[in-house]
Amino acid sequence: MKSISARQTGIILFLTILANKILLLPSIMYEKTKADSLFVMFLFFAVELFVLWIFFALKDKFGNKSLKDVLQNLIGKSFAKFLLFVFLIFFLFKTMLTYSVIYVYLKDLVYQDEFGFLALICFLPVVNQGVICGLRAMSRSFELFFYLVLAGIIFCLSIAFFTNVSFPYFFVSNPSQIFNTWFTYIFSFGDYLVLFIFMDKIHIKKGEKKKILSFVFLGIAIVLSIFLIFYCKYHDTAFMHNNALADLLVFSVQFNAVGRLDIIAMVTIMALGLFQMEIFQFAFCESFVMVFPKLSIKYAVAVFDVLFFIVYFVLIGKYELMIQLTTEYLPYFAVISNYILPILIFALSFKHKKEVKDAKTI
Amino acid sequence: MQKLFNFFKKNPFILILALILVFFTPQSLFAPGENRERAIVIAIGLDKNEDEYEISFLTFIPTPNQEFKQTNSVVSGIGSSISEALLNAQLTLGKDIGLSHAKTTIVSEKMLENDISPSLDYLSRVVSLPENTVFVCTNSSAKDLLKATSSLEENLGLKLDQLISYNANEVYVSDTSLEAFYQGYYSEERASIIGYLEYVEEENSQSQSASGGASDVEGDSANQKDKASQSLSSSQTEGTQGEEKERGSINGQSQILNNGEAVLLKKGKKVAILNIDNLNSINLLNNKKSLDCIKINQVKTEDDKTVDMVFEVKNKYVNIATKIQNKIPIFIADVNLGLKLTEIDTKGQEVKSNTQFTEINQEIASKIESKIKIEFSQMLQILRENKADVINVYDTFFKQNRKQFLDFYNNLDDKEDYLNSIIFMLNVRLQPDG
Repeated sequence: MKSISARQTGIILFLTILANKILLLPSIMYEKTKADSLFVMFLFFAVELFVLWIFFALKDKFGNKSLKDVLQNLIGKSFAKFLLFVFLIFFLFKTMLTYSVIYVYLKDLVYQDEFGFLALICFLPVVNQGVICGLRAMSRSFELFFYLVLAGIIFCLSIAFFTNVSFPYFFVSNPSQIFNTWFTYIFSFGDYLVLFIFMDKIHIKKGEKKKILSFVFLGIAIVLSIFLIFYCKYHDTAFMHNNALADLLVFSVQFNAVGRLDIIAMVTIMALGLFQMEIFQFAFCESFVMVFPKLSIKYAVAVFDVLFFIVYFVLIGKYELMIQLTTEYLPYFAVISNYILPILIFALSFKHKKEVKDAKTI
Repeated sequence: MQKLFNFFKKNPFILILALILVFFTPQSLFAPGENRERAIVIAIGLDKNEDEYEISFLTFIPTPNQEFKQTNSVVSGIGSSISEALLNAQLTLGKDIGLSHAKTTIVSEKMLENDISPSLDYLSRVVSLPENTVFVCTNSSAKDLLKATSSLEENLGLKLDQLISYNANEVYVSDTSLEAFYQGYYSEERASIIGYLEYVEEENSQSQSASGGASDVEGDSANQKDKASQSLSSSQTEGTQGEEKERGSINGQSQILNNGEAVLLKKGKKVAILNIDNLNSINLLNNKKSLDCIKINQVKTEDDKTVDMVFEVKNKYVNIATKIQNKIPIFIADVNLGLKLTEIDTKGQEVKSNTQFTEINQEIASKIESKIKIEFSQMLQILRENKADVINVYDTFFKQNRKQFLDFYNNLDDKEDYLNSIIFMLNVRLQPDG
């Protein structure tokens, strides 16, 4: 079986941690909890790290078994398929959200007119090809471009320090507002679920968890830095800037004379967007193949494209509606998929262990 | 053929890529150049005449030439709203406009009689005027200033945004961009500062620049060639060099005066013009700004001669503290200045004094301190009168004494007038530099 290394797993996690959090999220969260959104992010990451810990525990327990095998062992074939179907839906919408956020950015900074269909024509073939090539080929590409993407992000962040930055007001929101915001934007998280989907393809040697964790903490540190620097730079006008990472670089009088510095942000964000869409689409296709084992990944890709087109362009229609959908209705779904299901699987794994022990005793 | 079919069957996305290339490449190759459909705007001007808005664009026209000269043109449109004026300007131009490269936004003083924010909101939100555009006010019409700017660029190679950026870095010591305006506008204080440039015609420009000692940059001087100007029902297009017909009084000479002044805005409206002394007093509290000159008159030297002295502020350290005493907020600023004596006006006398090492005696210290304090109180008076806190008093109290300050603030009858209820203490400590 073509498996990926701990380092490649770490890079995949790094990329998914950044998904949907470095452009639109800092701005829309500011409207609700001002700079205290940073605390909401701490809360998010604390819960997410708990889910990662659950993944490691399951991986230790079930070794190289696939999620499908694990679920079938724990809850039977039919329920396993149902849960995999839930993950399938989750990753379909997750890819759409990622596409929407990138699209908002491209529309604001590159094109002024609506060009959704054209953007999709540019994105989908590349993403599809990546998925068809498989997880290992994708991971190698991510490894190759990792330092380039990292350098782009660090450049955008460091430029912000040459402009006027000062600490924003903290502790202006009450706990209820903080938890409300946490719930509203929960769909932008749940990134570690991708690991559950291809857990059988991840090969972690003894002591390599630290390597994965180092990438995870790097991702978290970058997201939190973007939030902090963005709020330090924009304060009360943070709500006007929908593309946090790019806007840190672009809107400074001091760099007016340098010209199109924003190209650096553009290249970084485009690469990130493509990689993240590839990961989420791959998770969708893997779930699809697990639900419909007789169909190959090429069918899964074709189904994804058709579903994407129908749901995004026919049913939803506009990216604003997509964002609205993920903040008003999908949070209920995300609570189940992001947290309840992993915790449920983890709890059931104890029962499974007990049953195995009982069987041995008899 | 079978091989090709099998190849595409194995790699279907190469087929998709080929289809995309087949459909889109000819379309891209035969499409007209973007500059034929979209005009690149490098500066934008907003004017208001009674009930009508006039929007002017300084557009860059890419034309092949061997002189490496940039051809600019000023185009304007009039309408009852900003969007209508914009549409009329586009009609005149025969192109859509792209504001992504608009580095300067000029508004006339008349526009600032009312809240400017709704007009700007349309431009930045709908037609993507970038927030890092430098935001400037002018006494004349924005259109006139744009025309003068255009020739300024052609003759001297000096761009308006560079001029204003210099002011922003050296005089205002803060951003004067649209973003900075919005930050002030949406803050609790609702006050901001933007740049100010005077546009003067030849008759009075000489006297002003001579008396005011301000730097002036001449524009339009060599550009007397007649250029076609065309007008439509509600909009006009002018070349850079042919506007004199329309403004008979200009007589071919117009100047942009940069006195280092700035406009104080409250809730998006102009409330006062700050001169360079006011701005220096504001910057007294700013650690970033240190280059400044202080002139004191009638100082006695060691050999008992009376002279005027100029000191340069070589370094500065400011410490700001706040406290609430008997429910009254006190704002304390400790300003430490390192001064260097740079000039002595002997008034024709023979003075024997060693200026190598600056000495600050009691008399000099007291004169400098009193000058700084007077100027600071004048500036404070302007801010108090206009309820415009541009020295971040609210921010400082909120960060340092939040609970007590909010108790005080929430009990005020007029919350905007909090500056009048705060005691300011300015402690100046002087040290010779070097």
